[in-house]
Amino acid sequence: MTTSHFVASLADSTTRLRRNKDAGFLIVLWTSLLLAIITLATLVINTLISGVGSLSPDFLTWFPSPFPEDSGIQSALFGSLWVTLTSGVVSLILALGTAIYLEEFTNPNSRLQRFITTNIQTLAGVPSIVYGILGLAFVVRGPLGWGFTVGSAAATLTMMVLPLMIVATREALKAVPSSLREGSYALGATRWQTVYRQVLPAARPGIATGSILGVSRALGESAPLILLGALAYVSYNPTGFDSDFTVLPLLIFKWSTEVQEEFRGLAAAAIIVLLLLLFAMNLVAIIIRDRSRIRW
Amino acid sequence: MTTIRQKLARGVVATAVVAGTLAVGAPVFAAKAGDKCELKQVYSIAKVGTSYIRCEIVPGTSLHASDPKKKAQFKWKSLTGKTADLQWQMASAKGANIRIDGSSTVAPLATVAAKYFESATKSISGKKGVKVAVGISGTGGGFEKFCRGETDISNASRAIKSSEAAICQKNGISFTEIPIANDGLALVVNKNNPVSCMTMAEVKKMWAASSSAPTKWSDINSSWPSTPLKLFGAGTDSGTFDAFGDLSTVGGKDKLRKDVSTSEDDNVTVRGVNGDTGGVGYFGLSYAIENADKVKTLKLDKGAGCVEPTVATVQGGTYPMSRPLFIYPKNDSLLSNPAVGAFVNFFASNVKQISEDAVFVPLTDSQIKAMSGALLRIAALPKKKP
Amino acid sequence: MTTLMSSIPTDLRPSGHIQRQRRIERFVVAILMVIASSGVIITTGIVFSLVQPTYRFFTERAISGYGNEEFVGVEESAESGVRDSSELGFADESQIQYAEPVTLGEFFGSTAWYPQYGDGDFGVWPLLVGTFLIMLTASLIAVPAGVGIAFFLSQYAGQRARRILKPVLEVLAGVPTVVFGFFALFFVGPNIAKNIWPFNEVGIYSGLSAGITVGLMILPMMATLADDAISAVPNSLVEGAFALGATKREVCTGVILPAGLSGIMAAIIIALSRAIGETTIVLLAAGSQAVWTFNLGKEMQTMASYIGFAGIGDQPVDSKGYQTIFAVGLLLFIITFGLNMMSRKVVKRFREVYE
Repeated sequence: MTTSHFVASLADSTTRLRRNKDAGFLIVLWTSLLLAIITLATLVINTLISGVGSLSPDFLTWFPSPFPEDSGIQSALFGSLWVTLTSGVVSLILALGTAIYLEEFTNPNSRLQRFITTNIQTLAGVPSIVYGILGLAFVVRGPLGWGFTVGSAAATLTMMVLPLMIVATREALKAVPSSLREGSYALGATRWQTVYRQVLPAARPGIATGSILGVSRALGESAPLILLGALAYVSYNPTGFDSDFTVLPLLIFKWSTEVQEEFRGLAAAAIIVLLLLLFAMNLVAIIIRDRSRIRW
Repeated sequence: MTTIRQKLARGVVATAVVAGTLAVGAPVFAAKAGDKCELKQVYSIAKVGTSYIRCEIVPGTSLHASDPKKKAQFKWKSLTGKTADLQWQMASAKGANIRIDGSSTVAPLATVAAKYFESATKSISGKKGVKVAVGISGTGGGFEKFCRGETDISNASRAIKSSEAAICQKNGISFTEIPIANDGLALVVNKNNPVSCMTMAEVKKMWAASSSAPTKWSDINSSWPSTPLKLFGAGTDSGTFDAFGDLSTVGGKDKLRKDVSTSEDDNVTVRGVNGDTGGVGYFGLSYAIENADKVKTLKLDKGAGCVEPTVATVQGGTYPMSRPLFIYPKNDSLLSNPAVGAFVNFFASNVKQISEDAVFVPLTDSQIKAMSGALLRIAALPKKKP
Repeated sequence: MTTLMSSIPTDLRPSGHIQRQRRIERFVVAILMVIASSGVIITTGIVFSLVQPTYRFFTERAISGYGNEEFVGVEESAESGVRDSSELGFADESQIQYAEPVTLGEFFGSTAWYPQYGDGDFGVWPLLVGTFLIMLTASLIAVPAGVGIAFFLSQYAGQRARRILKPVLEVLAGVPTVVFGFFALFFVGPNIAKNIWPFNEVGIYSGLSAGITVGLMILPMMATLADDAISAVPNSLVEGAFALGATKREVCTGVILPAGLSGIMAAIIIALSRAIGETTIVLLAAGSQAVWTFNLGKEMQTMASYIGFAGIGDQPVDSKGYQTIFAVGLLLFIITFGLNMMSRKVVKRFREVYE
């Protein structure tokens, strides 16, 4: 074997090797991708298969019952609505206030801003069950002592989604170009007038999408509420913040642990409803995002 | 039985706060006695002319029958005078709230009672029926809330402990203990397990804490398979756990072995034993009956031969592991909230049907006698808090 | 500002209108400041609600009983009939039993975790090991697959594929954990975990099925964060490599991976901290036994799932068993806090390199 032959075959084999490696790598990437898609597909199909049979108009209007034959989710739907809307509104107000203060009224490099920012990042990383402990110690018992009511659950979930909402609203405010503010100042507006009349309207789509995502997090959350004291049977809708209640994720949790096969179907049906609600909310967020895409 | 009913009725009348007119709400059903009704309407009451009818489960049929011919049917039945008395009291309780919490074992029973009671009150006072919320915090957790005044009724799968009663007393909470149903503790194993009967000595050996605690079935009895033993138990602060400590003859819960998968939720045990060949667990007989297609219930032998846990053997006390279940209404609630008194009376006077629908072992006659005493005592409670 | 003010002639001082606006401005800023402090209040609340009971757990003794109790059976209940609270005898002070405070040595030095039995065993190691194993399983799935998806999105996928794939990831990321829990219990457990574990027969509950599902849950988050890290790699590096004749794979593994490594590391850490804190999936799928085992095919508890489990049990307040919720919660908080700090440190370093 001459040297030139050897080099040629070497070059040939490395090219082939490279090509094989490239193909292998692509297969690995496809596998990862398929894993995500298959997971989503299996999850949805598996839920549909076990749940579709139990879905009916009655399922939405009936109340939870000890018997699977006449169980429904009305009180959980209304409970979810109460808790999610309350925590959504309260956390939006708090998040907006915080974001406006940080973005519009403080110096980005000030100590105060850095302190609050770090603090919010820390809160965003706290596991949801720890918010359950906080709710248990401060809201359900302790200083507030509200018991396991709509109010306690909403307060706990508000604290949980607040960091996410703050981050989202800050991003929305940041996206508003400073030229808009400067123009407003040049016309003699005060800071608050600028924020109120120029920045907030401009940031509205971003704030809306951010808060919808925060609210959908609150809608699906179960862990802190399990800790606060899940109820087994509530067959009426909440009437106020001091009402007993149950929410969809808790009902799903409860039904998942029941043994009778029928309850598994009910849990799957409730999951379908929950996923549809979340999907609708996300769709709204996407539509808002696309409709109001302003190019600065 | 009739005398008890009368007693109950008298007690009821005594506690009735307002005996106003019976306002039958929305006359949704143009039904008469003997007509069919449906599960959602069970215990609803409707007025026909001057008399009342109630939707009931036809005797001989059952919600839990596996035989399709015996599947539950529902029919309107005329209400007779004595039972009708109850409704006066329920009418006066419209729109009220009742908070119940406690044992996960008793919860299904209380939930069925709550559902029927809600149907009854709703049909009497229109949409505004009594609202009953049932929680599951375990017997200990339930008493903890109860003794802080957060709940009206506490469910318990064991009698209250003096430690708990002491806390109640310290907080000024007085209550009445009412046995409401019985339960046998069933030992269940996987369907594929050949073992079908155990002596109490074997039960003790299986569950007692010891350095040489068995790890395989064959460690307990050499004729059994060498499948690894996988133990499932009740949550360690549940009444079931306490009761098993005593009933399994190991000598109290502190002497039970710890390498047990415990859960507050009996369904966890059913799933676990169902999914594990060497699995063994215990829970209320009601669960064992309800899940007979998933797990196998063992017979037990305390020296007089193998006894299968059934309603009769539990009531008769021949099955070694049986216990009563209780509810504890708060006396203050009974006085201040007519709905609570109405609920307790409703529960007590329909306890057989409720027990059957929730798959519990009904009270024995002597227990019912004892319970009626409780209700009379409730009726005789001083009208104002001393 | 002040010097400017003092030099302004009197007739040019702000009119009443402007003064009113200034008052509004001050008022608004004050309100915003109060609102902005809510995050700090929450953090303080979390720390306080965890630290105080944990301190009592380690330093104070708790009432554990009031002497031996009689068991009431079926016959006794018929005999004693109904009891009124006034008829129950109370144990006197001398009969009260106390549980001694748990020592730090026992908490961190023992491998037995049975908080509710008798005097109780409070060695937290089984929970730590369970947490670690489930996190490890989850990361074995989510880290390679997440990075793979990120590579695919950034180098292989066209605009159109990206427009389909991104929403898939977003939808998957938005699926509530209780739904994943249901999926773990009824699909992953019986269909996957049961069939792939060679070492023992996997029961209905296992760390394996919980770990796999937690991995699938954090996958979209991992992919998105890794995608962000990859997009931060300067284009000039990538283009340079292509100009030298590198294939896409070589660019991915030879250029982007090392250049974006710190960003990817930060993403991994954040995803892991999410896995550590996951409660509902583990609570539903991994069982309720906290044992000292390294076998994923068995039941296990994580710190988070133990808190959920003990919370449902609702043990008597002030008992040692109840206080474990807070001690374990504090430990969980410290660990996730530490991980988040770490990821921020890593990100910082990563920024310094490429700015």
